[in-house]
Amino acid sequence: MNYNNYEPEDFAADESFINFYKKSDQKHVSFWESWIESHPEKQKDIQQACSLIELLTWQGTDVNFQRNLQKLKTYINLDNSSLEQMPVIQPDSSPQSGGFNWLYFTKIAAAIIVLISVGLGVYRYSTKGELVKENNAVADIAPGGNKAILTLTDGRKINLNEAHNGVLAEQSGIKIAKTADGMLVYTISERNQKNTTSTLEYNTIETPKGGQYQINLPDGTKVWLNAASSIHYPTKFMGKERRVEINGEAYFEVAKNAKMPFKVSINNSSEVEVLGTHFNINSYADEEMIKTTLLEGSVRFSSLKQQTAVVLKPGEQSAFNKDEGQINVKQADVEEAVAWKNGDFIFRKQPLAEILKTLSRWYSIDVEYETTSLSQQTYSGVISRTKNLSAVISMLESTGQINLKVEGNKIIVRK
Amino acid sequence: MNTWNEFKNGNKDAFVLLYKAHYRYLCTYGHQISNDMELVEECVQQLFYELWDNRERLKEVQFVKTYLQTYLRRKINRELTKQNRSESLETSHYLELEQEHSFEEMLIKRVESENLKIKLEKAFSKLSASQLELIRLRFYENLSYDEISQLTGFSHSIIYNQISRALKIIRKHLTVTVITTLGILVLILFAIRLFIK
Repeated sequence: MNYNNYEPEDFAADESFINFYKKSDQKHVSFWESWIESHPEKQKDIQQACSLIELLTWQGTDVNFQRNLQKLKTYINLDNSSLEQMPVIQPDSSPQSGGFNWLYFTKIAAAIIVLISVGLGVYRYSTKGELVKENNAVADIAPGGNKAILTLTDGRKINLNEAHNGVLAEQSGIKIAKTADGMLVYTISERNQKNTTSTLEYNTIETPKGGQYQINLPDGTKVWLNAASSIHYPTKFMGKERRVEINGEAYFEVAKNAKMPFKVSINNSSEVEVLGTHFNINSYADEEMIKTTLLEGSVRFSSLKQQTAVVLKPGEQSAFNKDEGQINVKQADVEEAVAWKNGDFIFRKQPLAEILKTLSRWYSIDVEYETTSLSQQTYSGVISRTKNLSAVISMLESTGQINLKVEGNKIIVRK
Repeated sequence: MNTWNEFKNGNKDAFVLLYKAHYRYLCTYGHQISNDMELVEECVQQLFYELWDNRERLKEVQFVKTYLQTYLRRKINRELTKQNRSESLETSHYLELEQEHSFEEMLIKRVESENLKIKLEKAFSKLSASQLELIRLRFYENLSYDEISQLTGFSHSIIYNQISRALKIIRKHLTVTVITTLGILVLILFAIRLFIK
């Protein structure tokens, strides 16, 4: 294609160029990046093309749109992605239903029922009705919500879910206010802007089990904290880098600032260095791996002890084995990695033990195993995080394999 | 057969295309009725669920966008009354709702500079209704040329020509200074990205 005679509007109307501008396709992005580099005389036209597109483009974030589109497809049973074939939790070995020969289906179904009955014993079936009833009666544990505790430099603790909207605290000229939708906003007063020699003051925000919280850091970076997680950060970023420290799981949308790279320290064992990007870190202490998933931009994950590092491309996930010190990179299931932030649980071929671990953090419950025979069996499914625990449990039980009981704050995996 | 009728006949792909072609526009429109973005998104979602469930009973619609817009407005209002939000807010909004919010107005509204607002208004007034609609589908809703072609029945070359002609009109109306300042900013961002890589 000869782009040399293109006017700004020709670029702006070109599908490949739009994909480059919207960064929706890596192939087009790299093509245009190098094309622009080798055609400096076209710089002005490219500028105009970009601003034309910007002027006409929707300015919201696409995350919600993608998620709602998925939900719509699920609603109308449109089978063109693996996710939509699994509206409820299903064991991965079961066949997907679809439009096919009924006789064949009945035969397979009969065979499966026989196998399951033999495998799990008839006893379970005779008591199952009772069990379900029992669960419904006691298992009404509400899901988590926006809960977090803010700890200031001087040790003062503010309970963010109870705090009223408005100014919460003032620290050396920085106002911390809570807005109506629960966000924390930092405002630096003029007096403080001139005074650049002041020392860094650190705050900590910690979510309990069953809590999550979104905060705006002083540089405009947005952070979503999942349940049982914390972030330690300065009230104002100064010096050569912006450094924060996390435990647990957090999703970052880092504000661009090439002069001050953004660094996340993870459990003092590794760090992620970024320049302006969207990514998720899962580093719960009770998980074997620290997983970093990149949605946009570029990040470097490095382990401090082993002195090894990897650079991630969008759509990739690094898994760092804390004991062995190995870092593996693979194509990520991005949707699954950030589902928590979008208000869903998405499980794709996850072992039951992992699923229950995730549930235990959100519903602040413990898990007890009477049998571990199914712990490694994998399941897939999508559930909203706003559902009560009983709804999630009955979905798991609908597989006909899992037998769960809720007792107080405990889920018991029964034989 | 047009996309609306295909959807009424149960064509799922046609329905998804309708959703993709209106989602962002409806959200922006709804946001002008209620500040509660979560509520607006939920209403848009429910609206499409209801459309799908009632598809056989729906009448033929000539202007799908206007139809969806009115549907959404009623839905959000019902929702606001149900939630018993402060009365004054609702009634004051109700008057505003009687007037249509066009796509062009949405674009103009979000521009901050008064100067640019006037220029944009003038540029948009020179565009035909179908040019504006194609621009909305291509840039605002981010549909591909393939999808727009399916939706409108126009060929690729017609769509491309209409869009590039419309863009030319817009560019001519914006003074060079405005568009280059905007452009330089955008390019600096790209440069930084390149540099970082």
